[in-house]
Amino acid sequence: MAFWGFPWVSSRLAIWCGLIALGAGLAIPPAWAWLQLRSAQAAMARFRPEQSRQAFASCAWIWGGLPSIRLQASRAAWQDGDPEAAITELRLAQRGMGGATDETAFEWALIRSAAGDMGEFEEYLQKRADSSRTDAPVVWEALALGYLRVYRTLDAMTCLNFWLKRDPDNVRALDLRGQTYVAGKGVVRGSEDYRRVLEIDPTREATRWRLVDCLIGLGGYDEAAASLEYLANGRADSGAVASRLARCYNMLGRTADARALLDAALAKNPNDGSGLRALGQVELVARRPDAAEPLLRRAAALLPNDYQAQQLLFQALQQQGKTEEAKAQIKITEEVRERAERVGELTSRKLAESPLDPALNYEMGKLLLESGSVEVGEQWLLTAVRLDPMHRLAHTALANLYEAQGDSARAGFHRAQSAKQD
Amino acid sequence: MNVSEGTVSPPAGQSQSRLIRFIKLVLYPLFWLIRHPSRAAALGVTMVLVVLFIAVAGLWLWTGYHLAQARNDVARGHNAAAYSHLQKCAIIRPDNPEVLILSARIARRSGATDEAEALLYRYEGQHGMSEALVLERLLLRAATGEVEAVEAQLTARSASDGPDSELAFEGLVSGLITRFRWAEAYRHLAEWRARYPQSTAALLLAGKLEEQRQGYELAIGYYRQILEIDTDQDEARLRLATQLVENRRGDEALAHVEALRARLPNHPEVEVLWVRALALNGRATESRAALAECLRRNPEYPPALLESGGFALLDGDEVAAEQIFRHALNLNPDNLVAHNQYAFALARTGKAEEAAKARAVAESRKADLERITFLIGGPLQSSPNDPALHREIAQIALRAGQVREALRWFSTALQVDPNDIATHKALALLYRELDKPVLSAKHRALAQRPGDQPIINVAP
Repeated sequence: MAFWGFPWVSSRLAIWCGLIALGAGLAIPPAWAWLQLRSAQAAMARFRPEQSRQAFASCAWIWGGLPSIRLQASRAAWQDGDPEAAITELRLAQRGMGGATDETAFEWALIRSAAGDMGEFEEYLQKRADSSRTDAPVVWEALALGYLRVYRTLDAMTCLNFWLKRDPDNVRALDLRGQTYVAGKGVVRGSEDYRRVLEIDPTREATRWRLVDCLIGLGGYDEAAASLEYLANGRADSGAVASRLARCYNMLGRTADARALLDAALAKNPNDGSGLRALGQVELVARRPDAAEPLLRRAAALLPNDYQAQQLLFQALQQQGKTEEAKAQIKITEEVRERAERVGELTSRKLAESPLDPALNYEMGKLLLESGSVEVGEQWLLTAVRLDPMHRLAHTALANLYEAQGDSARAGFHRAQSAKQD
Repeated sequence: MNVSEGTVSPPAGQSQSRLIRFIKLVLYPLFWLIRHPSRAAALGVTMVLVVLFIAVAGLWLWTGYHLAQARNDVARGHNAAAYSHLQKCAIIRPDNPEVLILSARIARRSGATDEAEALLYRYEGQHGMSEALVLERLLLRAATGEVEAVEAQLTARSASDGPDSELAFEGLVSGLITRFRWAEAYRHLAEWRARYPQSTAALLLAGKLEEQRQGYELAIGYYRQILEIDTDQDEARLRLATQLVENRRGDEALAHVEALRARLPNHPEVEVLWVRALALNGRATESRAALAECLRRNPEYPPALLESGGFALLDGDEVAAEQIFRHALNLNPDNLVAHNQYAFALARTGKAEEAAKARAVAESRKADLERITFLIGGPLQSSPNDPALHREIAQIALRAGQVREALRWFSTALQVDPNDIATHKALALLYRELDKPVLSAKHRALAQRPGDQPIINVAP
């Protein structure tokens, strides 16, 4: 029998085709979600939280209601350095599970620790790591991340060395130890760990970026350029790659290549501070301070806490004989340098040695506020008053901050606390 | 016709019909089932339900019986028997609230505080907060030495006439004994015994307190009193037998150890006591046979190895004795007797230099022991809240390889002064040695007060 006047299509065939299409329509979304889930889990196993998060997000379109998916997505989020997203995912998971469970309690402890607030969870997490071999690596990872976040580099190092003793080629542990070394000014050792990571898995871009920054800091421009060329594959005009690569080319004497790169990058993004700084440096090396000055002025405005941008601007002014402007600029440069040095001393040594010293936490907060990092600075000040509820200077700084933000209630509270200590 | 033949042997046809009738009778239920399938199905379902009901009710009654026994045994302090009943209950009702609480109580009394905590955590997860849980948590905190934190709540409960009064006394006194706060322990014990004169739990703790104070005769007296009230109190009998053997009163000890062997078969501690009691009674052959059997079952049990080393020395086999004592010391480096015996065996085998070294270690252990005894008996009684004393005892325990004991003393040092920098420093280093980086980091951070020097250089 013909189907709706199509003599070559039988009704039976049409029904079969319809059923197959319906089946496929119903089966494809879950199959796709399953593939995404597998891909997310594989990325997590390879310590690639950013890829894992993307895959979980795709999977969540279909299976977003499943608490187990939310729980895994939460882990991927904090591993990727996004504790706020992790908390949102965990709340969804908890809602789906109908309340808190052992699993969600463990995940809360991991998120809080990874965010640097491990005070009440240390014993619980140590017990958990002792009792479960499968949970142990994620515990070390969360704690190392948390310690690093609050510059407790000695403690991060203890955890990471312990982890690496059991799993010497773990790329995540090596990468985190590299970061810990660098945070403690051990740039050479940090770059050794990054190199080892890239030997094991050359596709880890974030690690390669970190290695590049180490190499540039150490003056290893040729190796840095090679790595940057690898990273630039297909995106040579990316600002971050271009400015670093140009700097390397410039230092290696390939000024024309540097200029070409930066011109292309700045044509796409004229407000790329590091690109402007690098081009300014190229002009300075080419003894054209007049051309360098406007570039460096813009760079210094875009990167007010960047010592190098301020210093190069000073050089450009000095080379042009603009003595008065140079004098004013050197003052700014010195301020930036002193602040950066003090922050460097705090983050690389002082806070690692005495993380619970309220005076150091206050100083860190104050320096960050001065450099414009308001949110982070506020957190450090709040930690200072948590460690010492009678810390007058921290209360005063917080009162001033909240006053400037128009939050009179909180400003009043801290002002009153500060007045109590007078 | 032969009558007798007719009577005895029925005709063939009649016999066949009887057989058929019998078969029919046997198969009648089957035919009935075939003829009435619906009724058969209904009957089958009913029978299955009845069997299920009987099975469930049976299991329920069985666990109920064991739970009641466990409850009774826990109340009487028969922890081993209670544990066995609770194990059976846990097969069917592992999350029953009473099973969990009673199991935690037994774990606490046996010193397995981590296990007790895990059981209470499970209870809370399954059944939420309850008065039983609160009380058991208080008792557990007291048992781990946190007496100050729970003293007021336990004292209030002990003063009431409720069923928890005795438990509160038990928690208070055992916590005070843990902390060596003897005067307060005596005071609470006196009050407890005045209100509950027949309390075996009070007598047992009184005995433990006297043992701690080295008042062994008084302790023996308390244990005897317990056994007059309750002949099945195994812990009291075990402690009594141990004291009798230590005091070389073999004849009296033998009867108690024999009773214990019947109640706690294959218990290594009881078996070694048996070996020693037999030897004290001059039954050397039996003693050696018992030791051989004990070592066959527990080849790594240090007290049994010590006895074996002693027999080897008696036999003049110093080489074997030396090896046995060395092995025993490897398993338990803290045993002063083993150190002395080892030094003696080395001297007898002509290894003078090694013997001198071993003797020096033994002397050092002895000095440590004497120092601890002095600290506990003197300064700790007059200044129980001096963290330095707790810390010093912890460090002596650490030198003796008693890590658990050291941690307990460090922990009490922090209970009396949570900001004791020296204890935090010691703990930071100890946890690092124990491969507990998180706890090491925690105490390292707490130890670094302004003006302090860093204590750990972790750069490899």
